[in-house]
Amino acid sequence: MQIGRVIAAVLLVAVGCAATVAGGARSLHAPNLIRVGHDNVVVDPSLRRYTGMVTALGDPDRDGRIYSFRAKPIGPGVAPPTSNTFRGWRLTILAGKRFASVFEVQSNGTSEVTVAARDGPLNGLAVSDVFIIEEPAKDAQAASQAGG
Amino acid sequence: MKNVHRRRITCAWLVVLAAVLVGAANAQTRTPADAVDAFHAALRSKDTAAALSLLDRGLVVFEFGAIDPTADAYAFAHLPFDIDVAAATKWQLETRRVGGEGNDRWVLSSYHVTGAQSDGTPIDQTVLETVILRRTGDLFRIVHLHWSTNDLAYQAAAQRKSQKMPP
Repeated sequence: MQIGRVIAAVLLVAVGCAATVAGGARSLHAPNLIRVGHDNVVVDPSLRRYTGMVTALGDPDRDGRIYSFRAKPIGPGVAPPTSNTFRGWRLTILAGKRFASVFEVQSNGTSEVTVAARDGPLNGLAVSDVFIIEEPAKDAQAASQAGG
Repeated sequence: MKNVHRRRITCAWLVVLAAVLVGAANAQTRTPADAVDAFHAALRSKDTAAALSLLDRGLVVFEFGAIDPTADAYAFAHLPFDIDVAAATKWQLETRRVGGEGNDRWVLSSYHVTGAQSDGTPIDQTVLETVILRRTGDLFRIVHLHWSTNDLAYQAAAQRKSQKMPP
């Protein structure tokens, strides 16, 4: 009988601890805490950028490789681009399975982006994944040209 | 016969060269402090992917009183701005302590940060940085970043701004 009580008490404590840990984890994810950092410092953008969210994947080629997707702009002040504004720019995936993957933009429409095949296909990208397209850094371009 | 021998020698040299290059790439983040320095270098060189590659997917960032609860959130909400700040400022490492053991390490640094805002207002402050890293494979990646500053007005303004944001 006493053993049963001890087990019950241990289980109660374990459940309490788990709830506390889960509560702590939730507090880090509370949406009202996800806000600005040192944004009150005003510096000029060092690159031209576009941030967007994937709304649909393009059709795969015969081998199942996907090189395009449809997107909508997200973030303050981000507007749909004009055609081929981003040709040659760098696309970096900021979420999902392809996090940190980099591609070169081959072409774009107002809501469609196609990447160059040389960086490989976009397979693994998913609807709702977020990405950033950045103008290549001028100093990086210069270094690349100087190097050959 | 001579051609075959030459090809073998060439292949051997290529293998050695590849091994040296791979070793050099790994050496960049072989220690926790290297990973922290590589992260700052990536920000300075505006290399988004390189910066992201040094972050663990479990990353949580505390930045001047605000929170980025995931690597994705930081990548979208603050990384571009941190790149802009890095481009507009100079971060001089002043102190550093490294600790921890096994796969979990920490790097505590202070930097003298100087530069100018868009309107010419000077930036001159000490930024304190706590970085916790976890080793996966041969590489240390950042699981937590915490920045704060000795500039009380700056810190207070950042926190006021974060509190005013709607939930």
